[in-house]
Amino acid sequence: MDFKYLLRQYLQMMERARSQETGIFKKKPADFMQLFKEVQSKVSDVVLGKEKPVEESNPEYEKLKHYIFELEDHLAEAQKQAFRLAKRHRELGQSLSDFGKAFKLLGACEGDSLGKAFSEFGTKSEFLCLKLHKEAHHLLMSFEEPLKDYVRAVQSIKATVADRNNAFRRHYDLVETIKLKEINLGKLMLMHSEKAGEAEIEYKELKADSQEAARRYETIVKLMNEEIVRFQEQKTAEMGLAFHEFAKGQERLAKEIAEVWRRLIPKLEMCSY
Amino acid sequence: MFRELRQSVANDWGGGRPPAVDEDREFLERKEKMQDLEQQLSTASQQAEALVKAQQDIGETMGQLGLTFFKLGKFETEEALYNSQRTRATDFKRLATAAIRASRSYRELNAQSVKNLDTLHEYLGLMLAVHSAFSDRSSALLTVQTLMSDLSSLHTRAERLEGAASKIFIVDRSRYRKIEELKETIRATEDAKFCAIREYERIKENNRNELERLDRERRVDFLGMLKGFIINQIGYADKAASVWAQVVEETSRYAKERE
Repeated sequence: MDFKYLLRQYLQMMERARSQETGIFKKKPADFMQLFKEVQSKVSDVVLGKEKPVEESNPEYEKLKHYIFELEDHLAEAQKQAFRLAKRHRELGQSLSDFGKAFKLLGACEGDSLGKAFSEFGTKSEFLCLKLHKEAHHLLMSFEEPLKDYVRAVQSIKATVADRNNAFRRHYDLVETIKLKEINLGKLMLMHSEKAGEAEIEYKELKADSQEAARRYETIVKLMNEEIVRFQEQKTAEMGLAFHEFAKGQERLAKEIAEVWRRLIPKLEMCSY
Repeated sequence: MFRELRQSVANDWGGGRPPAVDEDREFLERKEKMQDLEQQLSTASQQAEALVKAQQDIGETMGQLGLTFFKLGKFETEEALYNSQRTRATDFKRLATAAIRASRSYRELNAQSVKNLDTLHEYLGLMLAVHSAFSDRSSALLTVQTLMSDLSSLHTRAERLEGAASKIFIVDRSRYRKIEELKETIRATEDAKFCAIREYERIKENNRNELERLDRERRVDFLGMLKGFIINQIGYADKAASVWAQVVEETSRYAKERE
């Protein structure tokens, strides 16, 4: 509904009534009343909040919001698994250490070359515990931490989404309020009311606020768009590096495990019965 | 049964005749060694189970990590608006594939570890048979000691009866009958003692042979267990190193960018 058009219609009718002096009110009171009633009901609908909540109807922005919210869930799960994997490394290390100790004691029972083999085996097992603990720490620092940062970055974007929503709502509310004030101001001026001056000042202040709100909203939108592009590029680089570090750590650990056990084989060969 | 129980109590209190010292020492040392071995086997067996569980857990978590990143990659692909997103999606899937492969390797390793380390559980189970053998030996020894103690008592009675009979000039038929019966009992008890000693020696010999065989086989099997375990660990580690080396190579540009 175009309030300006309605207001113009109303003002024109009032002018015609004044110039004719017979009073249009007497001739067509129903038309006039109907017009005013329409404006009135529209105003009360807005004031009473019977209309739907105000949101940007922008498909790209909707897609972005959906993406951000779902991404957060995925990343939270990834971070949780990364943390668990570090924990499992520590547990396996501890287990190998206990296992090594038990084999050393068993070796002491056996004695001879087999006992020595068990003892060496136990020592190697205990040594690998240290390697696993080291890798657990590396996992947390170089893999889990970047994922945590990623989650934080997404939460920051969510906060910006909330700011943008608020800015949009504020601007929209001000626009709607200004429309009502325009109608009111027109009424007061026609009636040559004393309150017209005050109303006009209030109207001008509202216009200024509305322009400020529009500027703020547009700034947020612009910054957000720039931020998203930067965010995507930055996260690709950060995740790429995190994966590189993770893979490096796993490769290093695997090679160490292979080497430690390989060194034991010749010693076992010497014990053949 | 009650005689043996009494004898057993008497033995405990040091009342019975001890067997030959040298043999006993060897047997006691062996018995102590077996007890020690059983204790350590039990601990090692428990730790082996814990290790297998830890290997299983890490494999499963690696798999779950892989699945999570696979879903992330799929999501980014579907939602991609920027090239950086598409690149990241590829990286996610790359990591996911490697993690899932590593998880499968862990699963294979664990199945092999379970088979290797089962040797510990097997030999722990065999300890029951060792206990049983020791118990048989103890029973046989107790039987021998009981019979020897019985014989000693019978001889003493016989001596008393014969001594008393020689002092009386009138022939006492009932006393004479008692002496004859006693001599018969002594003969029977001697036979029983002879059989018991033979049985005891047989059990001792059998135990010695079995224990030696157990030792030999155990040493061979334990060595095999160690070798098998190590070879499987190396096999897994080589596979894992190769899987992750590929990811290192594919993501090396990110490290260079940082530099």
